[in-house]
Amino acid sequence: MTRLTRVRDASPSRRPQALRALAAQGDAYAMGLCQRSGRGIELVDLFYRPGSPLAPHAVRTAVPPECTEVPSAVAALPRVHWDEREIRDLFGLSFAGHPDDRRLLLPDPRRTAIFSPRPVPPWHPRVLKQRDAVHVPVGPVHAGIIESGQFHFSIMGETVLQMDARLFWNHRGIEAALEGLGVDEAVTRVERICASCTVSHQAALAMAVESLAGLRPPARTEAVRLVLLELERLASHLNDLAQLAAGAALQVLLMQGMALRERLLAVQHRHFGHRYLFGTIRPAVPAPTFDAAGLAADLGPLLEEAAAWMERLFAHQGFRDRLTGVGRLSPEQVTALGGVGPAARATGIAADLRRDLPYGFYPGLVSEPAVRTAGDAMARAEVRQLEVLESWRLVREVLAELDSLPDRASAVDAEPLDGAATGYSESPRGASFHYVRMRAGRITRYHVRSASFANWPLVMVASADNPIGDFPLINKSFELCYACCDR
Amino acid sequence: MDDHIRSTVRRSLQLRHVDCGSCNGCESELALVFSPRYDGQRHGIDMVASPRHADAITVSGPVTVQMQAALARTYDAMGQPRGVIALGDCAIDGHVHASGYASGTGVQSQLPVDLKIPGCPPPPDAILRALTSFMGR
Ligand code: SF4
Repeated sequence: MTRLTRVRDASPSRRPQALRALAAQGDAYAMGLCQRSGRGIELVDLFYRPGSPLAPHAVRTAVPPECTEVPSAVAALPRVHWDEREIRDLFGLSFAGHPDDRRLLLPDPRRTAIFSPRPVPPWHPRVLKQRDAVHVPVGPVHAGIIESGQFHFSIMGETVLQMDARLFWNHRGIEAALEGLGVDEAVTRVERICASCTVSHQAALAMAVESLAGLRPPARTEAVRLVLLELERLASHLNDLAQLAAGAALQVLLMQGMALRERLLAVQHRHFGHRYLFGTIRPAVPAPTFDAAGLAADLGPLLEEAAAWMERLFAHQGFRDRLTGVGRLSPEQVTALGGVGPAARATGIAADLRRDLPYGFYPGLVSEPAVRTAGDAMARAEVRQLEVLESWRLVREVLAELDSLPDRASAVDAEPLDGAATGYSESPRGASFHYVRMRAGRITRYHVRSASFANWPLVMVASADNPIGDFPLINKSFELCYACCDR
Repeated sequence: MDDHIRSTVRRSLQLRHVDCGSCNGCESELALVFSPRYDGQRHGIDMVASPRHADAITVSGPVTVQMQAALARTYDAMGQPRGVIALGDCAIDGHVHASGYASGTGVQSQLPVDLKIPGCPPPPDAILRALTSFMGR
């Protein structure tokens, strides 16, 4: 149960120390958000203890209405840099000492600030002004079929000295649009934050809402959710690997990968009624019924072919040469910026919420996370290859016992939902957290810290010191969602 | 305008894609149109790298405040005649993302739309059927 019960209060001036102290004792930062509270606002910084069965806990910092500036915690805990910038855009609260005073969500000061005591400077690209350095802007509209994002390269010769990304072109203001809605209306919006990670968003919302309702889903429902989450990882990783084949100019392997992905989407449609699994997880609703043996029979040959395809891909010397040593990250860089998922595991960091903060049907089933240490594009690809095989093992095992699991829910608390809770899952791109606050059955604050939001700063760091021509490959090796990040 | 663009794309339709706040579901399905099962190229349909080479743009998403200017500039960069295709329910009317300070109500609030492809997302076969019938096949 993830109802937010463990909350400690800090004053604005003590917040940086409080965050530093928690990180020093081994707690991992989940997300930071701001919400209205009484006449003022409050900052909520959420942490969890990897390996502990306890739900995430919070540091709450009340900001009185007359206060327009609080000390930034970036020096104490660098990974809060984007969280604080987003809060500044949305709530007009300044963070003294933050190294980046530019807007994040909407570069022009329009409509975002719910109250704006102090205008935030507009966004502008950070460009190196030294001799011979050339500024190359790319985007937001791109040549291929990809999402919108803008990249500003400062290059000297071929080498990228610095890359600055302007994202949030797809910022739809989903969190604000959810306020005032009941759970049923919220679900259709939350599952459409991102099609690649929709199951992880649906699962996180369900976990939070069910915790507020005091409801534990029946075993079969938890098991089906695991199957759906792992199918999403399979579809996503296969697509990412196919995109890497494209990045290495291997057209045949790309097309074979796309054909596999298409078959997987068709299987999902056949068994769950939607190619991307929209509408498959509903809070407090038993999981859909489907033919578990039939699904396993459909997936078996497909995954066998996928395994063979991955072997051909990784045996291709051109593929290995192209990816090895490209876009390298150190574990120190990942830790400082709070990177998650395959990108973190590719630098030797064995972080995975399925094991670190066990949820749903995972406890007892997951094995050690797949880890590589090189930190380059090749390592990120290899981690995905291993995870495809592991996901398929999980799906197979759970499908085999699915029909023997009980499917009766415990009684639902009929009271309208009240209070705050977190929901989370290890999405294909890493740890993804949701925060829900409700009052009398209506949402009063919703916040999503997706894995892509956590990892985009890594792409900027990984791009430096590489040839500009390698950027598409580096970007694909992370394959982050703009939609998840921008919301 | 509508008839004019249709009459010029009977044999080939060159597209440029503009994501205006999609959840990437529509992108994913559009990308699969050019994969082995559907193979849009065999119908003369392809993606091109510049709006100047495009007969039409496909637009996905509700058209966020952020993307308004980029969409307008992409459209302005196209040669004439030119077509606009609203890909998916978000692009048609904003769908579930129609409200809020940063979102929009679809492409037609900004540009004339020549073809609407409904669905959330429209699957590749539906996209392909809509495009080929737009070409008069
Ligand atoms: S129509 Fe559906 S799939 Fe397409 S962008 Fe909108 S929410 Fe995503």
